[in-house]
Amino acid sequence: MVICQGSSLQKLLGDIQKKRFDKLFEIVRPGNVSHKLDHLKNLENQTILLKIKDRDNLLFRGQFDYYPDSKLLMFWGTPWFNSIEEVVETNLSLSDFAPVDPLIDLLHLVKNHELVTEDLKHLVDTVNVQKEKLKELSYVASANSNGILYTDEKGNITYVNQGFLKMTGFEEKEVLGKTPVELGKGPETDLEEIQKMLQAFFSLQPFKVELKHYRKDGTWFWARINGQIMRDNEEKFLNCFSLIEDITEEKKSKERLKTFEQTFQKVLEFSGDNVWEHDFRTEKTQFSNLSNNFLGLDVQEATDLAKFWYESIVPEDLTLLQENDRKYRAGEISSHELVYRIRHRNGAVKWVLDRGIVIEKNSKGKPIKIIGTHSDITRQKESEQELLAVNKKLESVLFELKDVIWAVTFPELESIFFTPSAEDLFELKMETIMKDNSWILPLIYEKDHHVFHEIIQEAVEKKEFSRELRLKTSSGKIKWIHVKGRLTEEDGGALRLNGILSDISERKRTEELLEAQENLKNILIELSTTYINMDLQEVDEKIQASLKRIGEFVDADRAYVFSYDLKAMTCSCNHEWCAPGIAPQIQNTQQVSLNDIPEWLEAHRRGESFFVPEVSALKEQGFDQLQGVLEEQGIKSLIAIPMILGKELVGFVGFDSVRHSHKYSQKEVELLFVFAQMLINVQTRKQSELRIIQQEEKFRNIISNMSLGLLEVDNEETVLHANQTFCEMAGYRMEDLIGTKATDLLLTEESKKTLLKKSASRKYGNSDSYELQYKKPDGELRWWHVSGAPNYNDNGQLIGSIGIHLDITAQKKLEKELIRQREEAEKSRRSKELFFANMSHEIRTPMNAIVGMGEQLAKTPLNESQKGYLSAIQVSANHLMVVLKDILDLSKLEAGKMTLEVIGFDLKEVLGRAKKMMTPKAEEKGLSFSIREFDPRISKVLKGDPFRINQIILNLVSNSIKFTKKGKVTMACRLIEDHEQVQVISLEVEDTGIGMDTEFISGDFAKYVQEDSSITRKYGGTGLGLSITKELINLMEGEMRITSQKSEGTQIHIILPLEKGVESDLPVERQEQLSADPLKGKRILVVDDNDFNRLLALTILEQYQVECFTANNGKEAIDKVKSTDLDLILMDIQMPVMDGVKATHFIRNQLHADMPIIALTAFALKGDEQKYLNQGMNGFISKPFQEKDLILAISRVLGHQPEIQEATIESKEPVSEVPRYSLDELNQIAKGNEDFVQKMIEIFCTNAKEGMKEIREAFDSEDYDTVRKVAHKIKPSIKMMRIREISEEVVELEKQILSEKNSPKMTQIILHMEDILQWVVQDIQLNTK
Amino acid sequence: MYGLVNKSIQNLVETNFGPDKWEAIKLKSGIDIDYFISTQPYDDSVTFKLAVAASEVLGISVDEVLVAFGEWWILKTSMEKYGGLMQAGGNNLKEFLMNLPLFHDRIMMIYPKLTPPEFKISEVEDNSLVLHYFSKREGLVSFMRGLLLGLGKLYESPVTLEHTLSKTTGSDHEAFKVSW
Repeated sequence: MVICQGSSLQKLLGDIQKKRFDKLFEIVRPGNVSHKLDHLKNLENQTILLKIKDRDNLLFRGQFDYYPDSKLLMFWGTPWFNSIEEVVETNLSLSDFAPVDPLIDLLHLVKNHELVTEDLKHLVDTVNVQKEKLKELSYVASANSNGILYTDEKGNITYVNQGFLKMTGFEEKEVLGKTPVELGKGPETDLEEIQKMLQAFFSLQPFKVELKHYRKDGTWFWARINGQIMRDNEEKFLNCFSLIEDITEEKKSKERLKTFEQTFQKVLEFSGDNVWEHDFRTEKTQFSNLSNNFLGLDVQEATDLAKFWYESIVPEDLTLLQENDRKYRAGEISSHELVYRIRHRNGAVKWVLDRGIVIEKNSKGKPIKIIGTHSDITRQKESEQELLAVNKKLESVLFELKDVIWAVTFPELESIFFTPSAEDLFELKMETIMKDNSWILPLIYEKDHHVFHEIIQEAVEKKEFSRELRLKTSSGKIKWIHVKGRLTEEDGGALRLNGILSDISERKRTEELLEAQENLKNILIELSTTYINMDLQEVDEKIQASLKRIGEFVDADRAYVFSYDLKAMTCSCNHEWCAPGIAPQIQNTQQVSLNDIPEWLEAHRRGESFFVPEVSALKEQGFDQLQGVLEEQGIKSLIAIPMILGKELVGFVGFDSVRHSHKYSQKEVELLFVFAQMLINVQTRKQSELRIIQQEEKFRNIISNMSLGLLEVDNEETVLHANQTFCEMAGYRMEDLIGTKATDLLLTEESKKTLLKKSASRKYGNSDSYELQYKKPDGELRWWHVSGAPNYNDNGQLIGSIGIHLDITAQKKLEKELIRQREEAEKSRRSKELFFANMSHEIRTPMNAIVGMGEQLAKTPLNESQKGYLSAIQVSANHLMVVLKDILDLSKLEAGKMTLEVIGFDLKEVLGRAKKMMTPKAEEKGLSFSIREFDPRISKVLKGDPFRINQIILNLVSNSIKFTKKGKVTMACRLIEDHEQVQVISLEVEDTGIGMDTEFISGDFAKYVQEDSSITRKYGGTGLGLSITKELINLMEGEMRITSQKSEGTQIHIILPLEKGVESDLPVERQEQLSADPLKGKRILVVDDNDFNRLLALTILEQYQVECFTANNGKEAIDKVKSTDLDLILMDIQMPVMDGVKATHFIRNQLHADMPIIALTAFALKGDEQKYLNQGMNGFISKPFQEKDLILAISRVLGHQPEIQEATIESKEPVSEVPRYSLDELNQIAKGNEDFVQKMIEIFCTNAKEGMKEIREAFDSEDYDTVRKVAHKIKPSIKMMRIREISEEVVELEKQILSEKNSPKMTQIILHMEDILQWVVQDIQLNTK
Repeated sequence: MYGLVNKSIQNLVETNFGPDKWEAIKLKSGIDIDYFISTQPYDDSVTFKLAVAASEVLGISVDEVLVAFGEWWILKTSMEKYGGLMQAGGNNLKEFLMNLPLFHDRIMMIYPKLTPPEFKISEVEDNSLVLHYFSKREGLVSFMRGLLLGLGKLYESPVTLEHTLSKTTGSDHEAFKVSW
């Protein structure tokens, strides 16, 4: 029983424990043993083979070991598999076998053995295959008809095939062991080839040679030997295999082919310059003549000739060749011949004749190879072209030839040959010419038939001739021809006349023309000489002669001169010449009506000639009457040339052709015009001479009638001639005067000098007029006006002078009187001005006190009646002020001193203000007062003087109110014209008042005049209102129109042209506040001799807490300045002791005090302000002044002072809307160029800053000239930037700094400029950045 | 190497790329051996020359050639020639790998001229183990890789390889962690 089993066994048989051994196993070796233990234990050390009972093929090989102690029998065995596959089948794996068990290795080896066997089988197969192949090869080798030799290293033959033996006639034994060279070399064998072969052989290289191989019998054949070295696997030399081919036939045929080709090529080359060959298979082209190709190119072996050839072909010809190529390839052609052009390397074009033929075709009939030639046929082509050109030329010469080349038989004159030009010349068809000779004589001009006969004769006698004669062609043309010819004898003895005919008509015409021009020139010279310097007495005679001369020249039968009388519409013949036998017509041609010949007259009016080439044809042209008139006189043709003097048609000169009609050439017509002009000149001369004579007479009469004294003196002042008037003027008799010296006449000493001086100046050709005083013999002094002129003789020599004298004593008196009057008027005007000025002062001064005190009084507590009185005083004072203003205005207007403002204003506002002002007055009188109309189209802003316009309106309205008892007064404003920049406005004031007389209206409102004196009494007023209004309107370039009806009313229209403005033109009203602050505690000196005024000023100033000081005159003022510390001086101008101007001077220059001084003056005329400022004052107040004026003026002046400047600027700037500067002008110049503007601004800023700095420095160091220069420099920028505030100041600075030096004014100006410029620069920089 | 290896390469090339390519490779390799006898040992250089030439002719890297050859060796050559032996190597991949050292020990005995590599196994897990490969030959790591991949395919247990030790990094042998 199995009590224990190994794992592998368990894997094989499963669990066999406790199973009986004999049931499981069968002992195969040793055989026939009992399975009993006792038996088995004896089997120790024997190899036991066990078989598993139920399994046929599973054996175990092993041995039994018996362990007696435990009575255990152990079988050590291993299963025995026949193959590894069996192992796998039993599910055993490598690890199931004991490491000592080599079974698995054995099985592996068995497997290897199988594989090796298989390998060997394969190897044997491979060897067998190779053996077969070798056998085959060797059979091929031996059966090859070519010879095959194997040689060893030394070259000894080891193998030879049948082919070689057959080829050479050797036997195998004769060959083996020998070298191929020994066998095959003969006398003609190429040694070089052998050499080549041996060299290759010994360097173990393959070789291929062709040589003559000798046979055993001594004959030879051409052999190609291909040798190949054979090596074994180790690259060792095995043998050399040589293949010997008999190429004798091939050689021969090649040789033949070569010879043939060479011959062929030679032939081809002979026929062309290049032989080419193209192989379609390889697409290779070959040229025979590479080096001398006629393209002049360096053609290399490698060059693709086909490509190269195609590229050389002139592009236009390329298609020829391409098409040809296509045809070849398509099998359409088998040969060709083309002519085309090739571009030579040097740029020349070569003509090529390209011919070719297919020499080899494939089975489909397509070409394989073609061969051909290129022939340079350039010269041939050129000659051809040349020939063609020559032919063409010749042809064209013949055709173009004007001359006729001809040949005729002689003497028959039958045509043999005529060039084509004959047709044109003869105007005959060639058939006619060639037909017979019948055309010849009729062609020749009748008059020249004799020439023809002479030619025939000459030909016979001299054999040659050269003559000119005329032809008359079928068209009637006469042609001059030159015929030149020669008689020649032909071979057969026949005579022929050859020659050339040239049309010389042109030459003949030119000759004739030249002749005619020569004649023309002669006639012109003749005419000129005739008429220049012609005595006017001979005019008629000369004209007659000229008519003849010119008539003959133009081959006319009648020549004549007619004069026109265009008023009477007639013309009359003045001169006439008739050729012999032609009837004169002068008698019949007087006052011929022009109405019959309107065309004639029209032509002449246009300055054109009137030409009738054929009178007989006139009717057809519709000139029936003219034809009638002319035919009566037998005229066939005529020409009439107008004679025009200036623009006046005075007559005509005409030429008739009676015997035959005549055509006038251009030259002839020109001549006739010249002739007509000469006749005109002659007539003009004749007339002007007549006029001169008449004029002389006329002037003589005038002089004697005009009481002008005429005096003629020679160079020595000796009187040559004096007329009667002069004698009377001078108080001498003629005989007393002649021969005396003019200077010796009774002249005053002064006059004598004048006269001598004038006489001297005559020598220089001067003529002039002067006045001198003459003392008559009776002592009476007379004033003469003398016009003197030098007198020349015919040769231009000065021979003296002529004087015309006029007694101007009366005028002189008158003149003196006028001067006196003028001076008086001037004086009166001056006194008036003075009067006005004085009046102004005299009235204003007290008025100042009245008005001022009134104002102050009004501030005090008053009872009702006092208020009434005060009001009356104020009204009266105001009225007086108005009167005063009127008077001053008028005086200004008269003196031309009135100037108008040009500022922006709102007309509606002006009108409204006037209405507001005048409404109370109108209401007072119970009148309706309104603005009837205000045209809305009127520009919101206009530019002009609103104050004066207001004044005008007020004048008119107050007049209207004044002169209207009941009814209404209306105002209206209408736009009349609207232009781009200007509006014309009508201001109208209409009333229902008393009206005005037409007379008064037209009287231009004389000053100080009212319509009638009662008016003044009744209505009051100065009567100046309308005058002033009128003057103001005139000043504004407007006009005033008045329509008035007495007792019904008046309408006054004021028409004013006003410039349109913009919003910014409107002045911003300064809201100046009267503040006590700047004045508080100031120390002010009031200088005035007028107590009231002084008091007024003090009263006002004290209210502003000013500490006041007073002075009665300039001197006192100076004292006060010396003694007191003052902030300001109010300085009256006109004062006793020392006036304000002087005092100011002293204060400034002597005391060097710089406190502000304000002028107080009643001299309130225009320009006054400037005057005072120039005197070193800082401000100006016109008396009478109002409180406001005074305080503002003081504040303004003090306000300039630095300490309160800042505060002022701060408070003023925001309200100031008037721009301090403007870029308008700059922009205008720039025309949109922003860069320019920017640049200019930069320049301005720099200049302003630096300029002001320079000015300040120069001013402080008293270098006034530099100040002036710099001011001059910055002036244009200030102007350009339109900085109005200082634009005047800078001018003043420049002009006055040298004289003013560091005056307060200059200090002030510089300070002001600094402020303004600093502000402007800052503002500009702020706004432009 | 025994001719068997070179034959196997020949077979690989001819089967996959045709006999022409084989001729080309042989020409390229400069080997003038018409027939490899399986049990004859050839110089190792022959095998390498073939591998290099195959790489050049086939346009793949030598390593790729070797990997392919490794697979081929397992799947074709071994299975065709030594199918039983291979099967006896183990019933599954793990068993086969585990038997690998034993297998080579035996082979060494059978082929006296063979210098077979030595294998050792460590870190055996259910689905991985580390195979240590000791060889006197250089440059057959990729071949090894191909063999292992081929085995994975053979036992239908695709493997991933991690080359954990390498002579190039200073180790005295190569080791692959084989996971399946």
